[in-house]
Amino acid sequence: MKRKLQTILQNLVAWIFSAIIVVPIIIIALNSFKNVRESNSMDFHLPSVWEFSNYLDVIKRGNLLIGFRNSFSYALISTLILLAVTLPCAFVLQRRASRLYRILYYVLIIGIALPLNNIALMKVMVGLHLMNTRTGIYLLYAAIGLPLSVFIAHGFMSGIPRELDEAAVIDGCSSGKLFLKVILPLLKPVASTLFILNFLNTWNDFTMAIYFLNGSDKMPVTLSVYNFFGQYQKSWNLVCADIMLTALPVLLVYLFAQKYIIQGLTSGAVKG
Amino acid sequence: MKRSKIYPGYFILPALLLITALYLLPSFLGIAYSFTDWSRYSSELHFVGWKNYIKVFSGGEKYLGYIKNTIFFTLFSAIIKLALGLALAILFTSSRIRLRNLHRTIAFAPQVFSVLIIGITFKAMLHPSTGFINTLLRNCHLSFLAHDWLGSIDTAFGSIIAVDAWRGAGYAMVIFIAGIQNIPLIYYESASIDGAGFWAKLLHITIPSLLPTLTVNLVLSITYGLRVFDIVYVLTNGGPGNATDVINTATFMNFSKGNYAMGTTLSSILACVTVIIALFIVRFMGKKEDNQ
Amino acid sequence: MKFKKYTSVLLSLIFAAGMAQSALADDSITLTLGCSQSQLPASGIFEQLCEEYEEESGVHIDIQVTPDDQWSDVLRTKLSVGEAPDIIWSDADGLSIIDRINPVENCVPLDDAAWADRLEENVRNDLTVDGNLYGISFKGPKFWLYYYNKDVFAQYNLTPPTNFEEFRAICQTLYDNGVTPVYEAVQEGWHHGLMWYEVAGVYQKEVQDLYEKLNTNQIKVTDVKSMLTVLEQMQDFAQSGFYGPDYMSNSITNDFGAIADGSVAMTFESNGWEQQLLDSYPEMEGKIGYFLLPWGDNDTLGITPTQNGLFINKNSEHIDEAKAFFDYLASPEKLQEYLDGETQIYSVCWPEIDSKYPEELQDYISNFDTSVVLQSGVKFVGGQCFEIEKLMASMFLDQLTPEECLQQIADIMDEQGELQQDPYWVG
Repeated sequence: MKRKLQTILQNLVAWIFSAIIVVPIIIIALNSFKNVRESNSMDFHLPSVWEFSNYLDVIKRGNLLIGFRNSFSYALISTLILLAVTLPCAFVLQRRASRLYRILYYVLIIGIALPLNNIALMKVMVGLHLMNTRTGIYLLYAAIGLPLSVFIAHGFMSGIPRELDEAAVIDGCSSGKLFLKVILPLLKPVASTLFILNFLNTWNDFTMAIYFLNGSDKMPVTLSVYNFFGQYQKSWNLVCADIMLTALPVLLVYLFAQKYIIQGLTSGAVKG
Repeated sequence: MKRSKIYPGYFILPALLLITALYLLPSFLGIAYSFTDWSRYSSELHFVGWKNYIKVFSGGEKYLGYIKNTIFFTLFSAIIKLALGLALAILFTSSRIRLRNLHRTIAFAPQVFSVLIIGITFKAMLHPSTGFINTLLRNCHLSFLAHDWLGSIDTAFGSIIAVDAWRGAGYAMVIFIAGIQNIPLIYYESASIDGAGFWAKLLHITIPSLLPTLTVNLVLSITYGLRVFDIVYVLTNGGPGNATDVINTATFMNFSKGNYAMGTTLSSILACVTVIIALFIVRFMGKKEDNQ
Repeated sequence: MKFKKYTSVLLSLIFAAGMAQSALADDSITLTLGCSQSQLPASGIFEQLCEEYEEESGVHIDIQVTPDDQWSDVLRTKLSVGEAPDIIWSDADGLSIIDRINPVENCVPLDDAAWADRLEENVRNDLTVDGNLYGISFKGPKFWLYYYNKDVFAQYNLTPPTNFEEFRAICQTLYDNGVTPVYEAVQEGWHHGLMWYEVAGVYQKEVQDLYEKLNTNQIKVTDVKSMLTVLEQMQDFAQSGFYGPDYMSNSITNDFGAIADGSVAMTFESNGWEQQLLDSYPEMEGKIGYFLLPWGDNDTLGITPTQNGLFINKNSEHIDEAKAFFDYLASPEKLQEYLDGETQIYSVCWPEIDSKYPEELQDYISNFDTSVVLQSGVKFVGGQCFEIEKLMASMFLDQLTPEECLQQIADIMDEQGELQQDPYWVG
């Protein structure tokens, strides 16, 4: 009996925690269907009329189609660059354990702790002619995700036995072939994790875009919410609809792939 | 076959280039600029030595206050996030909990939203009269608990830490879950046979085995806390008054004022401190692990 | 599995649509125009004028909006790296344009424009640096008043105050009767401190040539007694509860509803606010009154002559087209169209166009002398990061005394003077 009570209690606690976490999200969702006046008080009341038109309004006024295209391309391309750069790097770093390579490893992951110096970065971007270019933004986002990604990939690599390398070499593989044909397929789980984590972070970013990009045709979707914040009116219902729309793709990606996230963070965190 | 042939050095070149150009170079440039009078108002640059640093460390209460706030935020947010993350991890790996996956998904979900959005939402929810939190408290006859969460000096920082925990606990949880899943069940089983209860198992098996994951979480939380900007900016912008200003909000203010040299000085100080503390933690926890 | 398929098809479609949407826009000459969210009139009249211009000239105006609190930083950043848009819409109150956009370095002189002489004189002066005119502006002067709900006042037999004592007494009565006297929104960052700047007429009466003396570093703000008095009044006000319990966390946009339903009696707002209120709450017609700011026993109307201006980027590839666009906007009919289409202003800064002040308001303000507000006439105050306003908020919460607050304001001004290497500060 005591065990059963404990179980029920534990489940209750679990639900309370989850409820606390999910409440704001539900409020945003509800608010996105209300009209302007009702939406001012963000609460649990159901909308008197379910205004689905809010969503259409938002798509049009927020230039969401262009915004989506931008966010999608920034997130996708920078993540692909990141993967192309990180995976071979982690591979070699983990396999060659000399002093030099250990130092290089620390240099690469120091970015986890090192804060980004925005002001100086501005100067560097200008010097490299990357300011206000799409290429610049792709590289920048890739660079930002690099430290943690190298850390996680490195940890994962330690779980791939060297015997495989040696077997492949004996069979006559060059380094390139070794990596592409033998190692890469085994890296699928961590590649998925890194893909999702970086896609997520890049999609949600807005500061980089504000400073390093110009032109409304380059704006990511995260900035669209400001279109509904005037000096004279805050249309909370539209803001919430916009939030739902901009969070939706990431939410979907996350829901589908959350087991990969756990898997990847697992290997990185435990083997470090 | 030579090591360097199978594992060619040029595989790491792109990564190194990227990091050097866009991360390390600006940081070193920043440090260099902090010894000048770089500002928006003049295209000339003059060397001023340690002047900016002296200003920070002796400049009355202002800067020291920001440093104090940053440390306060870092410590408390890290402790709360890790404790919460650990609790959730233990809870959501227990075989007695149904629908564990659903719970884990919900717990991680706040990471999906950008900080801007979270700030906007919580600002509305924490409004003293119309906000959801206070309305709920009043409906439960707990009005004495209702405060002006973000507007009063006593509760502003705590509220920011709470919102930050709401967002970050799930991330810490996922990492802890990974660690827990790696603990061989045999340990627990033999402990049960020896008659160990819940707390004993927790203290003597779970936590010690989690030291590596704890290290990772600690480093991530502390470096996040020291560098925090978004969530503070969006919720209170350092207010009320200067009560919640942290180093990075001060850096931003200096940037706005055109005092770039002071901005990079604060950034550089932060960079050094963060890196040192991170290294220290890793070393310290590494030793503990060895002692195991 | 099917769901995944649908999702990826959907995403691809959106991707394609996005490409199409922007490809179609690439044909004609495009002028980029950068502005902040609230610079654009809410009625959409500016976008309309741009569309009309495009029909007439074939030149497309691409309006790029940046969030309010980031616009001035972003603009400076972009100017410093040569990446600013063709046309820049910048705040331009008084002395700040040098700091904000440094027109001599970055903008195209417009002295030879046909409309230059028709622009109101004060505004033209504000937009002129080192003898050259750099910008064009449309909005008429801005001033601030206290608007009140007449019904609430009538309920407690109150009449608008003529000095600070009366103002305080009115607030006390309202407070004692459970009505929040004045609406305030400290978390906005700027609103709660603005009155200190706006009643500069009081300070100017105390000290002859105050602005010139402050600007040449002959005196500091700490030498002006009335500045301290007003700060003391502001602190007392906040601590007596006259702003209501939520004043630290309110949004200023909610004052419409609060005044309309009578839960708050007065609000501190700019000219044109009444019109906006009536847009959302037409039932309030005739029920809104107003009076001059009474802080420090003020009896002048503080004016911000120039609020913002449009400038042409020196590095633009379409300078002639931009100039032509300005000429178009400055034609009498387009100016009239602008005034008619903008519900929230009463006049444009072009003397040839009649203002549309409600007669009552016109009569009221003609009773007072005008003075230029502090942030338009004095250097180094009114910074974008609201450092001074933060000090005032700390003062409300008893973290600072008014003396300390004023002293720190003086320090901030000195710091800026040195930073900007102003000759009167660095000698």
